[in-house]
Amino acid sequence: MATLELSMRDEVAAPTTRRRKLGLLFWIASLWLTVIIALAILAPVLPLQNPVDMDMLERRAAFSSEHWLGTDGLGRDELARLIFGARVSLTVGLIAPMIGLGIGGALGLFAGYFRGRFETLVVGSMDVLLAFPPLIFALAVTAYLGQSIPNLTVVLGVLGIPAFMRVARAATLSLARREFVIAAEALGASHARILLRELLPNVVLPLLAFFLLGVAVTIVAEGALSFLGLGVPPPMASWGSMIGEGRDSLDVAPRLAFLPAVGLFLTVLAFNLVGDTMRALTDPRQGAL
Amino acid sequence: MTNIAAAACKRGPIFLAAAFAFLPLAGPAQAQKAGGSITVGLELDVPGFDPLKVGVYDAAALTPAAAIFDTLTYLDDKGEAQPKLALSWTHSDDFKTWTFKLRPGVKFHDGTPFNAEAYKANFDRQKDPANKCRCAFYIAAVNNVQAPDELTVVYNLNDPSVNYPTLVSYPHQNAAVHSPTAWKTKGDDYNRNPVGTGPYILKSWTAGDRMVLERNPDYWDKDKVYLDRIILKPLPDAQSRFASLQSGEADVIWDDEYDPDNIQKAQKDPKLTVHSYTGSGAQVYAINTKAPPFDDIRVRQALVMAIDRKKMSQAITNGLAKPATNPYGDGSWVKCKDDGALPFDVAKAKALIQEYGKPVEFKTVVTATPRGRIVGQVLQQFWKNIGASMELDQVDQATIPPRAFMRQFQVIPWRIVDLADPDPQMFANFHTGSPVALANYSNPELDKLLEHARVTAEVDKRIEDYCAATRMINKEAIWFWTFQNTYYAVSSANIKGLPKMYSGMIDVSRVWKE
Repeated sequence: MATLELSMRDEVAAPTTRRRKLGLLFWIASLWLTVIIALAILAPVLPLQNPVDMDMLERRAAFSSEHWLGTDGLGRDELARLIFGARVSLTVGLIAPMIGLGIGGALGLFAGYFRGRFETLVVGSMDVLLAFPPLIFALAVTAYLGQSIPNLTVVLGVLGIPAFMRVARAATLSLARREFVIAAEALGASHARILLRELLPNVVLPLLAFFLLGVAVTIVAEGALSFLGLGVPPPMASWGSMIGEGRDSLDVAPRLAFLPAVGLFLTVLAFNLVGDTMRALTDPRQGAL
Repeated sequence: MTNIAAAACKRGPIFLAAAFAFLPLAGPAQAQKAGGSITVGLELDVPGFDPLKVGVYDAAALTPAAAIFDTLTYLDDKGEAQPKLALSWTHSDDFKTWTFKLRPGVKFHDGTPFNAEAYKANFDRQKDPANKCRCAFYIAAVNNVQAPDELTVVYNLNDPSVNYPTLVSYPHQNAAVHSPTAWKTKGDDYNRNPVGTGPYILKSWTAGDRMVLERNPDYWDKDKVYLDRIILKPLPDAQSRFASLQSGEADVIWDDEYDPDNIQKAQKDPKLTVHSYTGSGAQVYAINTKAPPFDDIRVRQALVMAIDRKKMSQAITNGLAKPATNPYGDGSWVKCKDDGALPFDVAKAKALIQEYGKPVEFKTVVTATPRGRIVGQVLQQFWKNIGASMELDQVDQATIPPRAFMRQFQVIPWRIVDLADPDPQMFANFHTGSPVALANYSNPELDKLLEHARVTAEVDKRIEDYCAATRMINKEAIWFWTFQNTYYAVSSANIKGLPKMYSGMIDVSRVWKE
């Protein structure tokens, strides 16, 4: 999850122009995400073929009116699998960072506000979690609890906690000694009130922007795990497992690996673009200028 | 002299000269050519050769083992045992004692003489409970081996075996003969420094990269050994293994039907030869009859009837895999006119499931590999078609045997390996009380058939017994068979003399290069 921190570096774009003009790329990216998310949500009601029904004599069929994107190595409709795969990839990709956002954000907020021993403990334990090889952790969990989407989501969510904690803590640290907080303290506000009413609204914006980047990273991580066979249990499809299955027939039907790879690439890129723009808009440091 | 005769006289010597010039060329093209070296691409890196360390030799280990070690016998093209280290053999009337006369004057690569004492030392080392060899499981049927004189080995079996010499015909963990001096002096290092009597001597071995074998100049049968050097390389990825064959980096590669695209490509390529052999076993599944819903015969029968093996072969192997309705395979001498196989019948299967009444939900163990997942998903689809829902239980390859022995499964994949005689496996897999009787099924009639088959010498009667046993197993649907064991090797077209791939072994010890 080290990649998550890369995005913490300062954005030097001029805030005034960015705020007005979001750029064409942002809109294209948003449109793509809307389409993909809509397809994923509506997948069960769309007139798609069953993504797990095999037509074993129609393997690796080419594009046709019956199978718009052909069939995969076991004769299943590729388009249906791509869309149902998006469902899995997006479910995991959206829910796992929420776990990180909830737990990591809260820990970071408390650590940045209360400091002292609590902060040492939190930062220390997050360092331990960061030092733990993520793949081994994922392997251990799937070995003991079995392969399922909830387990996969929890694993990826837990692995994302340290990054969210650091973002939240950094934001809180820069705000905790600011005038408006001291003023609230002087007025006799309780810790709870300061945390919720003064700090949280300021911390939550960079966290949300970071969340979108987290979604992108998680989708890739889920893809990697599924590629290795540690992700969603077959016959369910996710983009990662589809790339993994398509790998066997790369020289015969390269589209089987490339179609989900393109879907993954575009979606992750879109999340990154949207996330970047959002972060530029909500950077707390810019508000301080 | 006419013009024609003159012409004939003039040309005569030319024809003659041409004939003489062609003769020596044609000669060697037919005969075996000595010299040269070949590179063999194997699927896996060989972990070692000490049976105490590795327990079982896999298919990749058999190729070097066939070059380094000799066995008592070998199988000819008809599948009959022929003399190798043993010159002749006899048996007692009850088939419980087998006496082998050994070849005199054979020496191990380190100079140790090969004799009955050395053979017995090999056996005792594997059998000794103190050594805790996993390989001991496979010789449980042998009570002891005696060495009454220099060149006589006597096998005393616990149970009769009418075909014992065929069971020591290829260099598996129990049949390869190692030098006792070598394992005693080398200790732990012996595993990677094997010493046998075979046609090739291990020269160097870099783990994960290559193993180099050089011709044994003192081999007892050296006239039939042609290559100077054999290089073995582990190439786990099927695509890159095939690519190295195409580029000429490898001369022979191991392949299997799960890589059908490359095999079919090679079949069309005149520069390549595809060698295949359909053995005497099958890929099978055992159903745990003690675990609901499989305690009901209707559910078991429905599962088997739901499987369309032809379609399955098409889906998984482009149609290369040969469907099996019994565990014997084309390579076996057991051929059944009627094996009582349940027909592929979705409607009937559906009806059986409905008759059962309760929802049928269960798990099938598969290996956590792309291959395991694909096969699992195909079965899942067949069973979904009849209204049974199956979940894949993906496990590591190595956990399948313990799961099987502990009966922690509902449906589990298994393999009946090629043995020249069906008895050891049929008895172990289906006789009441055997640790490998995975279905937990007991039937005195089946037991009787298996007991009768192992003590009967007449082949016809044994075939009858085994076919009757199969009819019973198929009817009760306690195990089912998917495909026969078919082995593949692909080589350059100039590699000649590759023998039949019994047990999937690519034996390059007697090939030559044109």
